[in-house]
Amino acid sequence: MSGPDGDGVSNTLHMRMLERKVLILDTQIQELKYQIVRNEKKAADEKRRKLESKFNQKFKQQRLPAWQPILTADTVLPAFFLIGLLFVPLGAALLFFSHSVQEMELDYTDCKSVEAGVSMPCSEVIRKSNFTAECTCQVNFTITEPFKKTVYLYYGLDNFYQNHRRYVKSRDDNQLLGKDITSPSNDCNPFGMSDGKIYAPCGAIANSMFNDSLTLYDAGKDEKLKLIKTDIAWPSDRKIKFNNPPGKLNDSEAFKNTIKPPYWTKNVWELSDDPSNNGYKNEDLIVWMRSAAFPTFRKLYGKIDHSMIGFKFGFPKGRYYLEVQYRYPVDSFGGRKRMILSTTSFLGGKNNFLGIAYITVGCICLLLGIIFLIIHIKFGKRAVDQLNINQNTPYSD
Amino acid sequence: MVVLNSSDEHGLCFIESSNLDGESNLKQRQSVKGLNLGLQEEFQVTQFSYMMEVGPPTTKMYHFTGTIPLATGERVPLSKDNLLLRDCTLRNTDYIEGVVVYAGRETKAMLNNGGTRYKRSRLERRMNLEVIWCVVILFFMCLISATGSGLWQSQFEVNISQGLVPFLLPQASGTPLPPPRQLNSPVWVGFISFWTFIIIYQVIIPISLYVTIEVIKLMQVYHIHQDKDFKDKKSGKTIECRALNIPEELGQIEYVFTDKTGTLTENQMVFQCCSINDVDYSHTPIINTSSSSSSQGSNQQETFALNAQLQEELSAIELPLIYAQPRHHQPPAVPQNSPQERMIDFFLTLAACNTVVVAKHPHHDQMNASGMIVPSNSANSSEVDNASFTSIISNSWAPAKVLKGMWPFPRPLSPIAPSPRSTPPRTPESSPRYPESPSINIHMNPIPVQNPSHHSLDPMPEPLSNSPPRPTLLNIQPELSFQQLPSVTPPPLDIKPIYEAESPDELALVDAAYKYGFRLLRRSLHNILVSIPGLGLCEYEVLHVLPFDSNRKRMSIIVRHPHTYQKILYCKGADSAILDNLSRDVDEQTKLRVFRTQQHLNTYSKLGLRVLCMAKRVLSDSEYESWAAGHSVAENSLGGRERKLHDSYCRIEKNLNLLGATGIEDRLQDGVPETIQALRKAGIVVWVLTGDKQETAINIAYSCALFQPTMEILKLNARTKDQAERTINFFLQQIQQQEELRELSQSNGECVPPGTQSSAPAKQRGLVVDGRTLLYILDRRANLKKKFLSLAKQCSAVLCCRATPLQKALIVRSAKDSLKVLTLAVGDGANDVSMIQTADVGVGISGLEGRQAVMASDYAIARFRHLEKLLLVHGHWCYNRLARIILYFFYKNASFVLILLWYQLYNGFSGSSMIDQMYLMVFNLFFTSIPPIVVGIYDQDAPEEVLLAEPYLYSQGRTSSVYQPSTFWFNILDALYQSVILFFVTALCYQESTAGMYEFGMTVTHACLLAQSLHIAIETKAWTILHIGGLVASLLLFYIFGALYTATCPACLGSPSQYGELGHALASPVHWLAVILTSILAVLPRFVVRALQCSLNPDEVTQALLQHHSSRLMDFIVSWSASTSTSSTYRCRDPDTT
Repeated sequence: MSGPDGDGVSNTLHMRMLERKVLILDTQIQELKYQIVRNEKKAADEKRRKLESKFNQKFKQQRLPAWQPILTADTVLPAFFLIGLLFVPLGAALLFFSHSVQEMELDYTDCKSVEAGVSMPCSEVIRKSNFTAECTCQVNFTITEPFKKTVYLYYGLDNFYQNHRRYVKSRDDNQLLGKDITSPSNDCNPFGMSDGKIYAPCGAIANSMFNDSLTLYDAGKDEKLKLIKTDIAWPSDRKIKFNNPPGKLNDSEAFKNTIKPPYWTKNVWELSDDPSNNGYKNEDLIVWMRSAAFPTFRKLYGKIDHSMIGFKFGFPKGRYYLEVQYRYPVDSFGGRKRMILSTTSFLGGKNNFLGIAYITVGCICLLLGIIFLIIHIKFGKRAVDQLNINQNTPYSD
Repeated sequence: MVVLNSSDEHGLCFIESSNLDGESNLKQRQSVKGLNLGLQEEFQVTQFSYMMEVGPPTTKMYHFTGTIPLATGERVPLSKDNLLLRDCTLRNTDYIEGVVVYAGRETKAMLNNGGTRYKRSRLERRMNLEVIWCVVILFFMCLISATGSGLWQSQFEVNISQGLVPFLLPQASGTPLPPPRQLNSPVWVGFISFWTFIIIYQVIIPISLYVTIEVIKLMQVYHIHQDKDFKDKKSGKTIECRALNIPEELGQIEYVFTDKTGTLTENQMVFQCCSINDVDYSHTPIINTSSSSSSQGSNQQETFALNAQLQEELSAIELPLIYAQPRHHQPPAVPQNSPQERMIDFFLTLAACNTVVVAKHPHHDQMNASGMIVPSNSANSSEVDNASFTSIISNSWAPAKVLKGMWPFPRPLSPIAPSPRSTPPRTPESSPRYPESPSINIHMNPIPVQNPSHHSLDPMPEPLSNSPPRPTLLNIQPELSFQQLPSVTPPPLDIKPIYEAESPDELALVDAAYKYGFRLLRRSLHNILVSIPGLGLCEYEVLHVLPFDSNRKRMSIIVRHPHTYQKILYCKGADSAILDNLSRDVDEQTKLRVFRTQQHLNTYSKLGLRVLCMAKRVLSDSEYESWAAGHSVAENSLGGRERKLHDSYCRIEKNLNLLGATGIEDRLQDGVPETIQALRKAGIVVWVLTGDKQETAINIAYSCALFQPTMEILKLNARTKDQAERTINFFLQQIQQQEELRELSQSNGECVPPGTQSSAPAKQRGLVVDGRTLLYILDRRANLKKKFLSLAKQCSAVLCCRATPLQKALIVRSAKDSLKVLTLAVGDGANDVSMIQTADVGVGISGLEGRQAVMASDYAIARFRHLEKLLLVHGHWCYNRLARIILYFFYKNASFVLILLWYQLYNGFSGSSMIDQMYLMVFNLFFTSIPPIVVGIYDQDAPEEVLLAEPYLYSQGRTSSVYQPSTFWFNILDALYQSVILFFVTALCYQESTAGMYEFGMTVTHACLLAQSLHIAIETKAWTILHIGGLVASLLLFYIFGALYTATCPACLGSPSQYGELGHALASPVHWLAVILTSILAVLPRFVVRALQCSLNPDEVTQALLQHHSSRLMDFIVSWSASTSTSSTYRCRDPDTT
């Protein structure tokens, strides 16, 4: 009984000793490894320090290796030719792209009401009703050249200063983020609150949202063309910047304690029938809320649905008319309203300027290159001459 | 703190005030005398009850007055000798007791601390003017915008009040109801928007410029400080930039005013010649060039060999005989005039008449850390003495060892024979400092007395023609005389004490006396222990010390002879100060002696030596008593004490008896002629203002290349005001005639090829003015200043001799004010302080004469030759960089603001900006600030070698050609053009598009950033990795900041959210096309203009650079094509010869 016991004891002792030895060896190995690593590190450190100190010395003595270009004719020559040779073809390409864009513009500011018995412009109709009445008008147009896909529908405003300092600020981003706010930002004033209720959305930008309804009809078939009203705003705006408050989109849950802005005819939750395109997430609102850079601007209204028959390859030629639910007054500030149908290139809309500018600048550079070439040929040796003159100047002897 | 008692039995204590003024020598202070404190056995602090009246706290370090009224009605005067200032260290004294009189902020150290002078550089003044222009531009921009705002508003006037304009908010907030009409009236809106615009456009005033410039200057100064070339190997001193805000002034200096002694010269005085009894004894210097002794206490690195003749004569004197004589007839009616006695007295004056502090051995403090007095170990100290004694002996008798560069003067303990007990702490540090090599150096440098450039100036100019040929005095082979040295030198009887003196002259003199056996062994306030050869120790009682001042230019000491009890006044001073005060009624022989001595003096000064005269006066008791009474009155007076003391000094320093004269050599510093030459080539006018004699000064001027042999020297030595005026007028007329003649010849020579034209350059002139003429010139009533300056303007070099410190300052001021030039003053001593402070840039030489000049200076350099690099390289760079950066900043801010202005055209002058608030803030702060800072610190329009090789390039800064009013306006025009391109071209790119305001703004910001980066890239003259890094960093910063800012914050900071703007912009091709097009188009004109400038009409720097490059290229070609290595050094510019 004691034998195996004793054996066990000695075994365990032996095991322990072995373990200890292994442990010691292990630690030794580790130490060695560590030492090697440390030595390597040290060497690397030293190397780096040497390099650094060399750099430091050069740095402190201001003797870093320097490249000293002198902008003489011969050194600048290549730059001019290079820019010229790059810009001219680029400009030509841009011009080509710009020309490939097809565009149709229609000013409907003064269009006449279609209602029977009323033969005055819609703008007057709504002004007379003190901006409560709705007026419908139609404008005919013809597409002579078929548009290639995809065709976008824009509305354009003239003389509308969306970039006015106080107007730009008049919004509350927190409200539009869907946060539960008890009072809108002061920037929204005077369109912040009314009788304890918050304007949803608040601020002058939202209040003045463009609310004409534009519908295109094929004049021949008298058929309404379908418009896609989604994906017209920036994805970042749609996904993050604009959110509805939690709850159902009605005045008791998401938009409780709010009222519609004074100029609006609908509530914010009634902007669209599509629940994903409603409330603050309504893309017309989102597009409008992005202030335009200039007083003359266009904003995307929708995309032509190319799944319609005949529209598979673009916008076929033919006669069409635009029906406008005319609500938006512009004559008080001398503005104009336009409808634009346009295709796009990778540059966006039609803009010949970029191409022309690139070609012009490229030509200027080529011209300058030639001038400098002449200078170089004619006066290039002058530097050497001056060296010789220089030696006789009274300064040096 | 007023000292009342000290461990010394005489109430003396020694201080070192290096913290205060940098002077490391010991200064003696004494406890207050006359308080009957001596009656007490021991000073008891508790029993000290007196009133003390002291003056109010002032900043004057060396000025203190006060009294202690006694109960008896007497007043005990207090002077600066009783005062210990804060920051001084007590030395060689165990303890002191005293009364604190000024504390805290009232201490002189603190009072002197506060006033760092703010100097504004010329560039900065210019800049401030342009800033005012910017304010004017800002005002007009605001006015135009406000008018526009009002006009624009007026077209909607009616409809706004009805709330019919959707984008126009009614002014009154709170209700959607139409507000009162007048609030929306165009006038009111315009008025309000005026102030809005001021806030928006204020960026045009470059506030950031000031901050940036400070940063740049700080770094520039740091790099100047780091420059290895400014390190003086000998003293280990380097440059010290005390003013941080005027590095660019160094690049615009037009006039340099320099002191001579210690600035152009080493200020290491070597006793050279003496004239005693009209005999001239000359000494050959031994120069220990490589002895690199420690920075402190290395007062003497050069010494001289003894004159054998003098040695013999001296030993021939039967001293006891002479001194036995006077005892019989006492008091002597007539002072003895034997030549021998004069010789003795001469050496006595050398040894005694000074303020040298003698320390036998390094002080061992007897007070331990806990304040207990520990009795000194006498055995130990005697051991030290013995040890050092033997070492001295071995040194002086073993020239071979001395030659090893261990000249033992500064140190009593030589490393050769170190005593194991006393020197162990010293040996390890001192022995490695003395390398083995120096033994050769002495032989290699046999005649360093006069600068080698002398030989090149060979046709000696007129004033020197009658001087004796110099070589006779100088060309004694030092080796030879050195070998004689041990045989003539009597073995020293005692260890050489450590001498510490305020001025090196004194040290040289005391040292000389020591070598001839007149050893100053101890010096306290009341007695002087001198060992006289053949006579042994003599203890003289000191009755009075009349200290040196720059007005009297002499110092005196009144002693009582130990044997004869005669009261003797020994006086030492400048020749003029002494010779004018010699006794008049003397016999012919004395007159002849004085005359001969004067001749010697002239010879000495022509050799460029500093001359001093020694004189003596035996005072009768009655004479002395009456004077002493008057003197003590003067001493005790409170008001005008200094003037009274001065008068009193002058009363006694009369009727002197000339003993002899000394000439002390002050070697020119290395590289002085080259530096002055370079400065003059750089177009800088160099004036030397010195207190030396005219002959000395002129001679030095020739040797340091201030005057060239081809120059015409005009001398102004007027004795009266009228004479001065007449001379100046005469010279002016003459110069005018010459100019006319030259012009005439030039106009005639027009048809001749241009080569001959340069053969008749304007004659260069040098002007020499002496102190007295300066007095008339600077006299405000005389109205001569203008004429003098116009005369000086015609001269390329001006030398003022015998100038007092105040005159120096006045000259600098008048040049600065009347000629409207930038001045730089260099000096090393206390007498240059006022000059240094007056000049636009003050440079102090941290030499031997204390640190007062350094304290007053803006830059302190170790050697004069460092001035060349400081001005020509660093000054040039700093000016060039700063000027370009200032211009760049004006452009940068203006273009950015103008872009905002153009946008107002499109937003109804509402003050709206397409650039987000955050970008507006950080654009100038981060995006565009790094490259200009880098360029401001590191750009080099020309490398150092070119600038040093072609000093005339300095004229760029001198004439402020980089930054002129026109260049400012050109930059503003460029900014206008660039902003137009950046804004309108981008606007056209985005016309008829769906672009949002901030998308457009992002494009403009990006384009503006690129344009400004390209702009600075064009302006960068030398690309280093730092420049590239700066540009890359600022661009990266833009993207990283944009990415973070537009990705993290959908609604924050109160301004309209920028979420996703940057990403959207960068993803759109129009953005990139617009950015590339506008930024390139924006900088195109500048690029073209620069290229045209460089290729058609390059400025001097570019020319020099081109030359440099082409010569390097040629070098390369030559060395490559030629097989022999010798031809590679041949610089060939003409392609035909290669």
